[in-house]
Amino acid sequence: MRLHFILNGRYVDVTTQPSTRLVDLLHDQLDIESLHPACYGGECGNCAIIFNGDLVYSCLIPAFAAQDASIYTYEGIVKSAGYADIQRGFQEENSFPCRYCLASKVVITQSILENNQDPDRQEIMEVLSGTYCSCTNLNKMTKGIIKAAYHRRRSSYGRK
Amino acid sequence: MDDNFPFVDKYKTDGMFHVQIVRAEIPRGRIESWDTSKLPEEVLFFSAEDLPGKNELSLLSETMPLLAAKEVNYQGEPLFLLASKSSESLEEAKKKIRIDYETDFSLLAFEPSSSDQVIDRVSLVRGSEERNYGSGTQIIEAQYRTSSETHIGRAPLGAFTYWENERLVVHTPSHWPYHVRGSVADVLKISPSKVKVIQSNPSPAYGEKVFYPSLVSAMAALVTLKTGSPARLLLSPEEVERFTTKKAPVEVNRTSVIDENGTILAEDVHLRFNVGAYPMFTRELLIRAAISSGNFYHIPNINITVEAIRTSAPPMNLYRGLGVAQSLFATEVHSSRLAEFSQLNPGDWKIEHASKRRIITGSEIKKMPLPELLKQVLEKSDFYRKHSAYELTRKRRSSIKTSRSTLRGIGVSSGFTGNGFTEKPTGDFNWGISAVLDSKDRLSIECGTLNIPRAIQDIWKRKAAEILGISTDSVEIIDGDTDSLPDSGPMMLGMPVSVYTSLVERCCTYIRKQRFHKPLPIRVHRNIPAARKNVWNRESLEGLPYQSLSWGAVVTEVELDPLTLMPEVRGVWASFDCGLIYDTSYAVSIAEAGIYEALAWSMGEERGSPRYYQDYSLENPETLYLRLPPVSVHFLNQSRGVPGGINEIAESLVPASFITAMSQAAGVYFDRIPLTPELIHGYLEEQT
Repeated sequence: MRLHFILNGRYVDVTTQPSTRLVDLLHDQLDIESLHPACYGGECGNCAIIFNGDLVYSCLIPAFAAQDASIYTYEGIVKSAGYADIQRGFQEENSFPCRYCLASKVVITQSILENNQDPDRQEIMEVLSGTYCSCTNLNKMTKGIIKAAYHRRRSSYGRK
Repeated sequence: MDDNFPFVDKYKTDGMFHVQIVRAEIPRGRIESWDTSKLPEEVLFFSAEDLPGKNELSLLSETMPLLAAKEVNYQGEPLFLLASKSSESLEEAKKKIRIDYETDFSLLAFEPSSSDQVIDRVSLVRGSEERNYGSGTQIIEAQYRTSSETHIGRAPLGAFTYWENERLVVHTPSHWPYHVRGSVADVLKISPSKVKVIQSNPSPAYGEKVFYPSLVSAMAALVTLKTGSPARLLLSPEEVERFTTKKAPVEVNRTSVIDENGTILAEDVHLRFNVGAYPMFTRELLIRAAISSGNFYHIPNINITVEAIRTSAPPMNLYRGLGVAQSLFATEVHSSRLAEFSQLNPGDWKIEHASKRRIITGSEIKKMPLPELLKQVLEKSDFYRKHSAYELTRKRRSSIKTSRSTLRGIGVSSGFTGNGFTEKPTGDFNWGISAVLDSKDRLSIECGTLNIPRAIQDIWKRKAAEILGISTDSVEIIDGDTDSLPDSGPMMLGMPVSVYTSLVERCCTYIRKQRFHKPLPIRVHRNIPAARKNVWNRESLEGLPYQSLSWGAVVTEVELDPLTLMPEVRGVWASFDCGLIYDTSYAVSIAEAGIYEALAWSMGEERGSPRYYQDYSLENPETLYLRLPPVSVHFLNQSRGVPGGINEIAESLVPASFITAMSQAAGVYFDRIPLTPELIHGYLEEQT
């Protein structure tokens, strides 16, 4: 089947099988290397993407659902202006995750900040509960996201 | 992503062979015959007979087969390899192999096990073995158990191999690239100089990245050797989870004799580890467990025996902590029990014993930090008041079933873990680090294992800059492969932070001395020093066993819901002395992560769905959210000494304090982890 959608701001036209999962389409056919297709059950969270504005795990979504969708992955977020806020927040709180789960943590943070630029601890915890990596100190990660939100608010007022 | 350090699944090329392992379907038996006649033509088949060299993987004098030649010792053991240029055809091809087994073998169980299954034993005996102390003494016997812990095999584990300029190149996420090089050379019967290993990204890891990369690299390399084409073998997440290493379960029996003052006169300790089918790294595990069984208690007459029991399970030994977490759990729960039988506060009892300033191997600790750590953590947690109040409540309560309020308890544990190996490398094991100062005053540090955590790299840079009087920007940690980097040994057991940091210091000190006497560039290599007989004797287990020690004391407060029997952690207070700390914020983060991991293990959580910090709101019970217990971490003496590991000491002390607290809350002696509500219910039923 033929699919077309927006991936990280670019139009994509691709042919795939009806049974393909979105994570496999993105990772294997479109070379989105930040995704780690591993659990295929939405447990580890290492295939997190922003799909039509919502945070989703791409292993749980059939590829055909991407028809006409807008998808953002880590590769797209690092090129956006807002990435600097996330990077700064993580650095200041020493909450940089390992290289394996960095991409999913950045996508999750971006998703939180898109919906609310002043998230509380509980809201962040709720979203983080969908991911798992042994490197992650969830307490630190929460602080890192709160700090990133602080920088995002400042940036939106034109402050550095 | 960091393109300079890709994961192994990113390596692929046109025309490469995909390799898969055919695993044993039975847990024990003998391979009678196999039939591959129905395999498609494009699928290649390899057995142990195709190996040109040794059919074994060796690790510090212990071995396991690469492919089972005849005997099968656990379900999932690698038997054969299949290779094809199409990955889709391999799954179907696996089903077409017919294997006949002789299964007239009994399974090797852990409980019960026979004496034939003991494959290694370590004894640590001090003083007399006489145990008759007459009246006025109490004998306390207890048994403790911990179960296995499995990591989630999410990060890719595999190997990609190909020929380049008549040399075999291997990409694999190993924590010890030189072990991969040696293993591949042994299996293929080629010179190690013909093999180049390039480390792919090994994070995160629990211990499975020390020798499993060597195993899969040798398998992929065999296909490349036989076909001349590139080959890639990637283990599936299920294979990593089921068949690579796990935390070894243990059964501990302790018998103590204490006098009326609560002083331990004698103790017999017997630990039995289920190490699975093959003993990889078992000797190190047994020695570490024996040392942690004595901990810092000065017991004049003690007999510790630690045994490795071979079973029909996959190998379970090389896992984070390497036997220390299991052993310290039993030691510290038992010591709290001894304090209780002596009618002493466990905090005071531990402080009293810590004042002896010796560890079990006889080594004197000149600056024993434990009394101070204990005092600090007891004060910060308000331990004395809470312990007395909860004890009173427990004694006044007639039954847990009639209790209308939540039940609370508090527990304390303390001790040390070691950084580095008890076996100091000598002879073949010249593990070390090199450094080069060039004519532009730039220092390059060469370490054989990449993926050194950023905070540790910062420590090295600051240390080197401080010694040489240059800026930290002039210090670089070099990327490379086994052609350009030295063998630095496996990256585990606090090696990067404690052992390697002191090597960096020694390299820089040498360069400083030679700097204005020799022309630049100056290159220096420093090995991990061999053991000196007067410092540590590994045979008699006497002296200081580790490069450095990390000390800690942890208090955990819990609450138990009498209706659901669901434990909740109200708080964890921890004090550590891990030597010099450059970045306190990072150190706190590591300690907190270790504490959360330990709580997950103690409460029987499946990794990935941590129940212990989940909660729900009554308004919306379907919404689960995470609620982390408050953790308070403090460091002592953080401006002196050699930096030591933090994660392991944090992970090792929490389970004992949690179980002790749970015992006080429920009024039942719990003696195993993980402790689930179902198990608590069982204990309470047994009590009534």
